[in-house]
Amino acid sequence: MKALTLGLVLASTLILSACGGPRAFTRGEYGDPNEISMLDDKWNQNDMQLVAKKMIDSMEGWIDGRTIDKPVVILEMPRNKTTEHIDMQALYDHVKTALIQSGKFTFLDKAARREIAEEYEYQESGYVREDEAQGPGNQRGARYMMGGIITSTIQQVGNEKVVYYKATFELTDIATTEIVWTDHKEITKHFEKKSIGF
Amino acid sequence: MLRWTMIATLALVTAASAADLTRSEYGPAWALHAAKPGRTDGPEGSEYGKGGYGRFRGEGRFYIEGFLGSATVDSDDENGIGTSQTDLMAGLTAGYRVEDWLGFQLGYARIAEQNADFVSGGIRSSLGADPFNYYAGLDAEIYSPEAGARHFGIAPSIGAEIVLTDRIRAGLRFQRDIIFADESIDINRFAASLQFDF
Repeated sequence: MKALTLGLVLASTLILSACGGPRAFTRGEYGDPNEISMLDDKWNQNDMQLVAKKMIDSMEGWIDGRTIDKPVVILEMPRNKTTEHIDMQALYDHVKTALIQSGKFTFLDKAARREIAEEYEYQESGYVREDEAQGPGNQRGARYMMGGIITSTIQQVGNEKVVYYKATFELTDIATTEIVWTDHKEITKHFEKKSIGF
Repeated sequence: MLRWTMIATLALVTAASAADLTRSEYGPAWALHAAKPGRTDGPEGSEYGKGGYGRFRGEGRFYIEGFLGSATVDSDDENGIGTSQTDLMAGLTAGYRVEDWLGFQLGYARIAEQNADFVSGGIRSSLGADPFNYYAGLDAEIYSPEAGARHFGIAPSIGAEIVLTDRIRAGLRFQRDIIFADESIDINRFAASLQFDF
């Protein structure tokens, strides 16, 4: 019985002392990207998905109610008016990918213009077969420009915090500067401060 | 005594399951623990009220645990004459879990027929493996038998629980009391437990 007692004490001590050592993120598993995972009070992937989903549905609804045939759209530089870092490119890519895959919109690659121009120069330099060389003059012109802005408001008192985001997207007719479509998504998140360490 | 312990265990588990079934929408009691978290790909507004805290709620919570079982007190007096007596034992533990794996607790227990009391304070370290939870604890205690003086002791313990819901756990625990006294006193306590997290 003494041996059992000693064993119990030793096991308890070992377990408890082991738990008190350095800790690291060594246990993990793949998760569903659409499952809400909110570990802190910052902008996260779920916020991006919610905004993107709202804009995609809204834009598809807008085009379905019109007779415009696959409008050509170019993306405006994203604007982040919040106080934190938000990867606007990831948000735009999310929206752009879904809209292209819907087959209802055509997007032009504004970011690749310089590289494409360099490629034209190279292909016209004589190194490339003449019948396969691509050159200027065939690019499509955008009719619409898609822009967006995200703003935020933070309220904090004691252990309570409320974070509010408002994401507004709009589609502007380049010919007339008329805003032909706009929509926004509001996100409010409530937080309570908790201890995260011993 | 073993029969009473088994009856008490069954009663505790049944009561916990029945209590939980009254508010479970998913059938079996422990199914609520694995309730579906919120998602971002549902209808507009379906994310309201959903968060990512479900699986991380183990930290920073108060808990209270009731237990009922048997205690066997083995003692040898100064002449080396040994006695062993087993009786019904019940108690209550209240604690605060600062993290998933670490809690601090205070406890009281009483051996019915012997009118012996235990007042204890210590720590508990847990290891979760859904839907089970295993723990080891180490308490310092005051042992107050009806006859004789109070004695100081230490009490390592181990236990296994099934997590019935986010708040309720039922399990079995074993505790070994090592009493520091002139005579040799060893107490083994085996009990069924029901824990409620706040």
